[in-house]
Amino acid sequence: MRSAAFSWLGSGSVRHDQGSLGMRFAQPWSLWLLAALAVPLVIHLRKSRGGRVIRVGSLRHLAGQDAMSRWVPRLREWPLLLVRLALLALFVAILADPYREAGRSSGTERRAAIFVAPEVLDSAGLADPLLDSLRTAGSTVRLLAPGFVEVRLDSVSAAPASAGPVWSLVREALDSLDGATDVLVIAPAEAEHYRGSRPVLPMPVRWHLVSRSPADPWLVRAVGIGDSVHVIVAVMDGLRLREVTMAVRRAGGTIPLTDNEGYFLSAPPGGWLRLLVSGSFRPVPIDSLRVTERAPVRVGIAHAADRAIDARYVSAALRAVAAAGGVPVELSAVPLTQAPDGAPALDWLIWLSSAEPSEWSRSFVEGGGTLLVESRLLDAPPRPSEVVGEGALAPLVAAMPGKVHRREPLPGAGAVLLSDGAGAPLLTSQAAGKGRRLLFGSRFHPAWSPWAVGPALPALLRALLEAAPVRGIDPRPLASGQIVTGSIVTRSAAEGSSRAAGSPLSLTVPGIILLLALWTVERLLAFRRARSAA
Amino acid sequence: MLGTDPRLLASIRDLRLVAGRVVDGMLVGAHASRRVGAGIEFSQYRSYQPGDDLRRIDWKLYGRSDRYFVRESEAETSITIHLVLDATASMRLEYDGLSKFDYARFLAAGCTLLAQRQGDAAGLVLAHDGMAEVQPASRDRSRLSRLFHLLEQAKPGGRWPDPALVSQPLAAQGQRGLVILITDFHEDGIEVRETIRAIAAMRHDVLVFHLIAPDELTLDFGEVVTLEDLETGAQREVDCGGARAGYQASLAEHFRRLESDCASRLVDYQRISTATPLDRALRRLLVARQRLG
Repeated sequence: MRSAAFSWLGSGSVRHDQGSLGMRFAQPWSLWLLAALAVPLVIHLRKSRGGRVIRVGSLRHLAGQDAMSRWVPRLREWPLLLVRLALLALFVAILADPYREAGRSSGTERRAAIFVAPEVLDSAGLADPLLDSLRTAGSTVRLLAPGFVEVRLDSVSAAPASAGPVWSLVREALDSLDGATDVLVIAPAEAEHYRGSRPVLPMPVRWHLVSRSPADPWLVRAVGIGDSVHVIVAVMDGLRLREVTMAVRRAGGTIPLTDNEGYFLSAPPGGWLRLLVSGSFRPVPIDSLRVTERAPVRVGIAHAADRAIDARYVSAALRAVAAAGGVPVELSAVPLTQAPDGAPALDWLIWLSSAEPSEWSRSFVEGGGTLLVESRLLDAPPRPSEVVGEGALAPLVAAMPGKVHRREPLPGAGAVLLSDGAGAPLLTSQAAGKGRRLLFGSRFHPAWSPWAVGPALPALLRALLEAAPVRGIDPRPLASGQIVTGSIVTRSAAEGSSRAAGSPLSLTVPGIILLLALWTVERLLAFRRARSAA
Repeated sequence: MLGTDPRLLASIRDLRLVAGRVVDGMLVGAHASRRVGAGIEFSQYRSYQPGDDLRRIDWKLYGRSDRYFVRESEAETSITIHLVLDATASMRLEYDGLSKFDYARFLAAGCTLLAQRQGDAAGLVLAHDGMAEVQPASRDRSRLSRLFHLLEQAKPGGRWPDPALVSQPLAAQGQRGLVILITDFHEDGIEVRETIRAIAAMRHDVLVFHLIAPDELTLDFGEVVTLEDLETGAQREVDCGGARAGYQASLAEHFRRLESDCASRLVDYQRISTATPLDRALRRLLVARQRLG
């Protein structure tokens, strides 16, 4: 279902090349069970090798039959083997929940066109899951307005003006398309947009109606830390999606909640959390709440005497990370000359010194720890540089102010997390043994970077500390309900099809019928084989 | 009625009883056809014909009737039957729970009992494990009991001995007789046929029973099997369906060659399936016996 949904996200041409059946699987991971096909294959080959031993008086009259007799049995039993393999493959396919999308011709080049009514591009409309997914995926759509201009949803900053009756605009838009186009119209659900005549549309249209009532907040995730649960709730704030993290104590019926930037979370009985947004409570369903238990990250800071200030800023940033929730942190100071036996149990070691890390830090990394170390201080003076975040850190770094002073370019080994304006690595990550070594090309000091005194450093450290991949644009899976629910299909005047275009047709029942038929054939072949053997 | 089905008879442990049941069943309703002529036991009188031996005229009867009558007696027709039994390992081949050797043993016992009732002498040569185990021919009942015991205790194994080892005891007994060879003709070379040649050269009449299991003819062992040679232990994977045609052609050529060899030496060759009732096999013996007189 997920792959079917994503085929709508890309604008432009979409090739449906899933074979003549256009079959897809809702549980494609189940196809790994196809490895079980090796079992009947091996059994067959083993049985083909010799079969039962029968004693005879003499083999003399079989001389000259040998070569033929070795290979013919495998050929003769292939039908049974093929039927058995097909039986097993079909069983696995049924487990994978096959379906096909009706109303789409297979093997033809089709295009997808998404029209979005300007009315839904306000804060309430963008909270719609489908629009949200399209927006965070950077999809290009056409505005359902005269001219049907293409816009990138993620670049829309303010809702365009309303363009008039939706139906007549859709009719006009469809006239400009050929028949090989799948059309999705995202329009407001309110009735006033559909007044007037509604002529028959020339091709099937898939409707997605968006209610513009204020969107409810939704749970992003919950992390259990000690005696509290950190609940991260997403809420639309204007056109901006915000995440609010709140600590909830586990014990007791009433949950004291932290006030966070004007949001207030309360937990009355009944399976709902309530979030106070703009003076009104919004219900937050917690029926699907899955609390991820997380142990504190043990961070040790080893610093030279001349880096005491750096250590203070880093410590403060890490305390801020712990206070914000989501990633618990246990801080400890580690002497630079810490002996291996005396080293506290650490997950992270931040090495703030111009000297090379001591020898024991190498075994620390090999054993699974993460070492964050500044690059060696060279004689050349540091120079200011822009900072560019790579991959998941890109949006994070974009929000950080100012330039940093950097040292000489870092060695190119490892994955680049941050780079300067010239593309040279500024923060790299290199795997070593079970752990990794992060090499930073600057200092955590206000003179080197304004990050040290701003909220950017805790955000950066939090992103680095999280074991899971850093949250990027939108890692939430796109649920099937986001596409199917609320869709209305208009009848095509050209095709007159009564079938719901795009709605998946389950192939499980036909698959079971085919499975039974194959099983009957298999039994028949096996019976004939056994009878001939007897 | 137990009949003469070899599979049913196999459940009887007493070989003499098995043989008796077979022979009795075979002779029910049969009448002995005896030759008449010179001999000890009186048979009948008939009128004198010119050319009859004057010594055979019954002078006492001439005195009473004043006519010439010739006294006739049953002719002496007893012969010696030598049983040569193949007891090599290949005779262990089973079909439907009955091995070839069991069948051969029943057949030999039936022949022995038949010979005893005919007044013939019977002897036995067991060929197995590269040697020949000999029981000299005799009409004596105790010796026949020993022959039956030998048959009961025999266990097939090994290979066919040197042909001279088998044929020599038959030459030593001197008297020309009927040699019944029961074999499956599974030989490394031509040792069994050499034995037949040697026996036939002694002017014995030879009757060969070639035992064949039904599935040996059809190679009907299923699809893919591993066949193991009972004598050599060699194994071979065989697709019976694919190999059947070639196998049967080779077998037919083998049969044709055996029949040709036997016919050239005036040897009576009888091919018998081990599913054949024993009395039917014994009737062939009787035919051969009558031809000898």
